[in-house]
Amino acid sequence: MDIRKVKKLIELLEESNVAEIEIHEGEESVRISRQGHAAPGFFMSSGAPPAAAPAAPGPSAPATSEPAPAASEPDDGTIVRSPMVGTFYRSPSPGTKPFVEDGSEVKLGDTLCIIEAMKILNQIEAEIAGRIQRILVENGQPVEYNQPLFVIA
Amino acid sequence: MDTTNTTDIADTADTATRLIRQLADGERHSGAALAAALGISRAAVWKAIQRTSQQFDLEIRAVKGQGYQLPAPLELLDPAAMSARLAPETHRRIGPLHCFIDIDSTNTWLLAHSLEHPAQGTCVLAERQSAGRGRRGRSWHSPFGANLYLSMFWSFDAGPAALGTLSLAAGAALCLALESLGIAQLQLKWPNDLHWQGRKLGGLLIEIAGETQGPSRVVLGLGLNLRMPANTTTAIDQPWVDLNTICQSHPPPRNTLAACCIDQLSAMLASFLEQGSEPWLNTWRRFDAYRDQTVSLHWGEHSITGIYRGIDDQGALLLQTDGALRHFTAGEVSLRAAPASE
Repeated sequence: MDIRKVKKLIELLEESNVAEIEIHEGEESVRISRQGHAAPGFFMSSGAPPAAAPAAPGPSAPATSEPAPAASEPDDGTIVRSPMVGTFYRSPSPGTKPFVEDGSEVKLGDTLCIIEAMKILNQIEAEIAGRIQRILVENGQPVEYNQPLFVIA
Repeated sequence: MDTTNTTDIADTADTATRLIRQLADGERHSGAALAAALGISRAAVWKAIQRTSQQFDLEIRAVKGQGYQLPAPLELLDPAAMSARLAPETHRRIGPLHCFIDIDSTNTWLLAHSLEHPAQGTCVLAERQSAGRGRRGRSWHSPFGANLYLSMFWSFDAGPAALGTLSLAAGAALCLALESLGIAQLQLKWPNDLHWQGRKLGGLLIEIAGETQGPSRVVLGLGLNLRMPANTTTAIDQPWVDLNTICQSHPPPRNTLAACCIDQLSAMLASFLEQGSEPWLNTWRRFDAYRDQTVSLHWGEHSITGIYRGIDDQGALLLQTDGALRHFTAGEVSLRAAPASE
């Protein structure tokens, strides 16, 4: 999908009150969702080059959005990004409990998720301690290099 | 290698293990002889047979009035024998060889112990895995004494992003190990399923933990079918083959097979970052079995069908769809019957 088209879609989303747009074109699809102050999560479902990683800055907080509770000010959070292109898994295997949930306290070195690439299961560890403020990707979804996965505050 | 580094099954003194060692030759052993050898009563022998059979899911035949016998001889894992068959340079590369009689999964064990700074090249083998694992929740059928279940630990300074081609390099190294034992017609299915005549012979499961910039703790797990018991056919969900079949009932000895795999896998791991992945990708291409065939690639809820065109220089799968060549680093390949006209 043309990156200009994606940019256009992001602008469209910013100007609207719509929370999420999903477009399918043949085998490719793109979903752009508004996630408060965080960058819009988006991914392409084909073997898109890493250049398609979310480069667009997140929309500024829309005037209509509710003020975030003081306790979970996302600007204070640290974004955990994907170190590679792969598939994002929240639990060690299907049907088992996720490594972390919204609000989980994590220690340094705790496993946050698995990203599978080239049939290698990469356990992504917390590099800071804190509370999981937001989980930005759904289980089983493809992720791009540097895509935000979690916000830890 | 210092043999004090090894965990020999002989050191485990429980009755079940000692009983299996007695029966391993495949000969018939009378209750009286077993009682004498194990230092227990004949009634206790009968109980031990029942318990062992149940505990390890192992068939032990009882012939009334004559004794007990395994359906076939078992070559038990023997760290000393294995160590003696390693190439001289392997001894300098690897850590201790741990052999377990029964374990949940060699990968799980090694990954759990990876935070305790195990020696580079520490190996874990088991006679049986009660929870052998394949990719994402799949089980790996791991009956007692029949096959090879081997995991190796390696620590890399690099982060996981630099280790993506390890998957293919491990598959290539495994093929080299088996070739050195005279096994021909090996095939690889992206990224590292080992096939022979289109049937699954073995698989690799690599798990990596660590920080995104490294160091990375890598556990490389191998399951290789050697002599799959005849009664296990229904436990595996795809066409499979074992070395016993390929080698027409004269497969390599199990400890030799383990040593060859350890030689090649440790050589690959030791040179991987320094040498780069290109030589390994070239070796991989030599075993690339399904080029130009129609395949489907599945990931998450998605799937795509196209013509498989081999791998690129990053080890990614190349799939041709509607005239476009696409690169994939994730997903699972399923083969489709090639059109009859080809």
